Amino acid sequence: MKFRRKWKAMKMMNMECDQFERILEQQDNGPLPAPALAHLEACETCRILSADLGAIRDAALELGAEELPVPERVWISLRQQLNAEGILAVERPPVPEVPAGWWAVFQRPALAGAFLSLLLAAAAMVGYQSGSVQIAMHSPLASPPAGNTFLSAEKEFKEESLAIGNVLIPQLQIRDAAVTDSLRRNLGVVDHFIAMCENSVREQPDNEMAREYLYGAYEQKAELLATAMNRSVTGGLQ
Amino acid sequence: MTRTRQTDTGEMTEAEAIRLAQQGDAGAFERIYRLHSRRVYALCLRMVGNTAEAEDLTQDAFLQLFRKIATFRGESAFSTWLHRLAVNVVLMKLRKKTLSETPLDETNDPDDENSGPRRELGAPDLLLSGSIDRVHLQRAIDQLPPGYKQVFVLHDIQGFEHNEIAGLMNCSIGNSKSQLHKARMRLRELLQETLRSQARQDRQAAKSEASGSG
Repeated sequence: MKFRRKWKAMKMMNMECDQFERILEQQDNGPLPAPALAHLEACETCRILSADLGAIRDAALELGAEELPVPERVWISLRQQLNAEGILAVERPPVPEVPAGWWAVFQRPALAGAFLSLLLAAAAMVGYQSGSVQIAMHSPLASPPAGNTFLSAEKEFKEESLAIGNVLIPQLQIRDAAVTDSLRRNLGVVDHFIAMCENSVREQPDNEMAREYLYGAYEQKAELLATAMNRSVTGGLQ
Repeated sequence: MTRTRQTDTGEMTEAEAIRLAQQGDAGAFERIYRLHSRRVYALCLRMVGNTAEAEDLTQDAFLQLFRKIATFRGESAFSTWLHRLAVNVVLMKLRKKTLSETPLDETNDPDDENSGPRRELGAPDLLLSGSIDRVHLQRAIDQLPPGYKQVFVLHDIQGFEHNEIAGLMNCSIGNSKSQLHKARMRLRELLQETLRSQARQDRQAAKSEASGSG
């Protein structure tokens, strides 16, 4: 028994290159046993082999640390797939900061309509308050003197319609650029018309016809914004 | 489905991105993709050696990831989980592709008649140390038989252990070790051939230069 062990150890010490290679295969990156180390010391061929395999291993390790740029189409296609499967939440661009009251109006089309009605009422009040019919006596806008009321109502209408436009146009732009361009053009025409009417009212405050035109211009702008607002909220671009 | 939170994906940590992605946050999905896609793509490309296939596999891997992300509980590192998943996707694809071809347990090298080690005779050994560049190595890897390549990429490039590879490839640990050794030996041959070819070219260039000047 003792002799057999000794014989085996001696045989290992004098191992052939094939045996060394088998050990190399099984040990992988681990330490080599003493007989294999002894063989390595004595055999130049196996030393070169061992060094070469080590060099390949090191080069591969460096390769593993590399990152390769991925074409953007992979993400685009993946995102479409995720959207199609309903995994990815629909991403909407940030909504511009607006006063809370305004945002609440946008969330609900019915409120939006009501708000625009108020604008129309303000415009109507401006139109009629100098005459005998006091339509909006209950409105707080009616309490100041007539000239001031006109100016404050005009200012309020301008600010409010501007605020609506600031929120509405970016939202619509995302959904349909062509519709947004059309809205911008129409608003430009109406604004120009309003400016002309306002000048006429300022020049001839008692001219009922001028006030009628101004009222009509306000109404057109309000209707334009209401339609666009409905489309923006419901998402339906008819 | 949760509404997308407005997050700066550039500053979101991986842990935060995982948590938000589990809630369906689109920005978080993108953040995770941007963090890991380059390594997953590199893995796929090395395994299949074809950019179009690697792109498809990268997409598949992330699709699987996002389908399963809610089940990630953090028992292992996220990147380990993802890479394992990606490897599975690639191996599944390769299995489908080579279903009728030679299985892993059989030799993949047409020259390899016996399973024992083999020593090239006749040609002198060239020491490769310091002469292996990335391009040559990648070219040599691309020439490996599929079974060798898979084990080599998983073990030496991606850093998987033999027991993990055995699990992934449904083979024994011994088989994984054997395939890896054969892969390295084949790579050595291929790289030596490259070196010899380069040396030949250099000699020819030097000769033609000498005859031109003489």
